[in-house]
Amino acid sequence: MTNKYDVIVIGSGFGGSVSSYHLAKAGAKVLLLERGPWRDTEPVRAMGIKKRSHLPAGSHFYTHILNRFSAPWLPKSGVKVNTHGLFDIHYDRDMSVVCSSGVGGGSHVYSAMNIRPAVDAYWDNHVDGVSTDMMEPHYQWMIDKMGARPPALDDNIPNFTGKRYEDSPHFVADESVQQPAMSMDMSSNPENFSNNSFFGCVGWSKATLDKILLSPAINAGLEVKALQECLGIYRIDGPSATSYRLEVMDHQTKRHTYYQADRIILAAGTLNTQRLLFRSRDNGGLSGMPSLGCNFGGNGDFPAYWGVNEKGADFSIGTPSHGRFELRDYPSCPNFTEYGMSGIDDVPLVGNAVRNRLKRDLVLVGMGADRANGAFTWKNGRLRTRYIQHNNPIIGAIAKAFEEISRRSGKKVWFTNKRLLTVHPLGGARLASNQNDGVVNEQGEVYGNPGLFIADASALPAAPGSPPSMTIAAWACHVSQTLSNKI
Amino acid sequence: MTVVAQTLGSFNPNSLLKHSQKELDELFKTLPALTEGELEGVYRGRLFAIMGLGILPRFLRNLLYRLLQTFINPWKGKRFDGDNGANIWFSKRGTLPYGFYSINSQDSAVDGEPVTHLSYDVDKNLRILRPVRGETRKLSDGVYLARMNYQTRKKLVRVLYFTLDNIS
Ligand SMILES: Cc1cc2nc3c(=O)[nH]c(=O)nc-3n(C[C@H](O)[C@H](O)[C@H](O)COP(=O)(O)OP(=O)(O)OC[C@H]3O[C@@H](n4cnc5c(N)ncnc54)[C@H](O)[C@@H]3O)c2cc1C
Repeated sequence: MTNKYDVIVIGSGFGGSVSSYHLAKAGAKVLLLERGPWRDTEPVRAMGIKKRSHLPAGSHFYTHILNRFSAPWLPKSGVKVNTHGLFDIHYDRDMSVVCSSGVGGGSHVYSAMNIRPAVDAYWDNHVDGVSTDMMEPHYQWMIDKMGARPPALDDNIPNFTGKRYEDSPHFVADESVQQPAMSMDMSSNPENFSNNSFFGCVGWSKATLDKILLSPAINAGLEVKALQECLGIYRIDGPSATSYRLEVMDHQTKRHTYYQADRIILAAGTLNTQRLLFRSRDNGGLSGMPSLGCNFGGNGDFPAYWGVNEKGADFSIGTPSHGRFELRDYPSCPNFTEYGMSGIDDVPLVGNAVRNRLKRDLVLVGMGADRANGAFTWKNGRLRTRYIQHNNPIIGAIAKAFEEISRRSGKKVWFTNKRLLTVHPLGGARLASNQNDGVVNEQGEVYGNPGLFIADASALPAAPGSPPSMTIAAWACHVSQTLSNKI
Repeated sequence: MTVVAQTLGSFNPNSLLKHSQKELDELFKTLPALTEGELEGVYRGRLFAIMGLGILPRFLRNLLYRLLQTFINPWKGKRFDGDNGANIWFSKRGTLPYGFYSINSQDSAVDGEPVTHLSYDVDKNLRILRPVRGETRKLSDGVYLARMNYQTRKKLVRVLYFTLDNIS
């Protein structure tokens, strides 16, 4: 069989879109496979994409909210709820993981915070050939592409923490607290400030990867196939080259189909990249990878519900994240971001009492670099997360600070550290200088499997301690640019 | 026609039981051909994707084909001896051969790519068996994917798929 494509990319989130963009722009023949659909948003309509699926809103909320749900008591690969659903939720004892599905990956559901790592010299001392200095231009390129900038007081953004805590005796969100750059249209059109967060954004206000990167890449020759879920990777060693056969479920025709290429970029997101690699190794498609699953972490994510119940407030409007804040005079304060229930107006609920209450409350997320010392395990086709909280002091520090927020505000912060949950899973196939310490080398190529690359969060060498999308994008820039020089 | 030696990891043939004929056609197209004389000795066979059963739900097909791997199915696999071979019945040792074929390498009548071709047009066979045409390619090390076609006057009909794995 002759290979039609120079590279096949699996997954269209930050890792996959960035890789596809660079390779297509460099003239390579690239196929991008995405398990989810194109989303029915104005930018996607403007791209002329005919087959689009609803975001979960209105009468489509309950049908389109879930793609897959997996849990220890469910069948091993979980329950596929709806191929067109937005969220993929993996519930587990030590740590649960939430990620998304659809062309553009996490950019539809994310809070648009575009930040460099909180950890200094993040890329240094992991492998030769990758350093913080050399990655910096990739960060800048991506932040520029996304059009991101930090919100300012005179943007008059509803519920912005910089404004909300201006005179607060307890909390601080002034210039001493670095606000994240946001890839949002922050001009004063009210439409920019509603329905733009977890449940996706139909309008133009949030920068998503389909419009920012995939549209120009398609013009440069990229082929995107939506609703194509890769089920397995099979290595084929020929006399002159190694290539890979992909077993793919075409959710449109409900049939298995097969693709083959000499180079594969795996960017299905941490959870699904782990599933694919473990399953492919189980099926005999891939071999080696002794460190697969090691060094998983949740980037210190710790969400909580803050029952502020502020009279007259509507926290559901604003930017997807209202910004950062810290506890005043609280040494080594972890990093907190607050969120309103964006999109709640389009969630069908019985009566308005619950909705109105949800609008007056906030979601808090504490975050910080954990030690990424958990693991993914795979037994009889079932993926589990293992994560020992006590080995990650940041979790305890955030819990303590939540209690302090409760105390100072006089409003209960609800949280449980019995069940951790992350939206920033990373590691499991990390960058390291040899295959006993990690899965990929300095070019993102899997040790022992030439031509197979990993460009998503599972390859990150450590927790950045801040939202990781720009770090993933920078890594994918590095992997794809190095690869395009070889094609 | 160039035939290349390829090594592929070990593959669990049962993962194909739920596949339809169309899906297997796609897979078969991507597979490499065998090297000359690669098939030699006795191979265990597993049948699936039988014509007409594609209408059954996937789980039922899976169940049925697993049943066909038990004692209820007298067909056990195939034996290859140089340029000739035969199906083996009742015992995996290959002592009861019937359904003979000659073996050669040629391009597939279906997709035009190289295959190992099994022709049942052999005098020893009953007339009804003679239009059977087998095609084999390599799935992974020690595992081969094959299909059985039947040449009618008008066209080549795909009857079923099977895998062969080395037990000798
Ligand atoms: C609610 C929420 C808010 C967030 N907010 C922020 C934020 O403000 N800032 C920030 O930096 N990060 C944020 N994140 C995290 C960010 O979205 C992720 O870190 C990022 O998207 C991960 O990028 P990725 O390329 O690794 O995977 P993803 O973006 O998850 O992309 C993976 C893609 O692969 C597809 N896929 C999976 N399996 C297969 C398969 N088998 N075959 C084909 N395709 C497949 C998926 O459908 C998905 O589209 C947030 C996440 C969530 C859930």
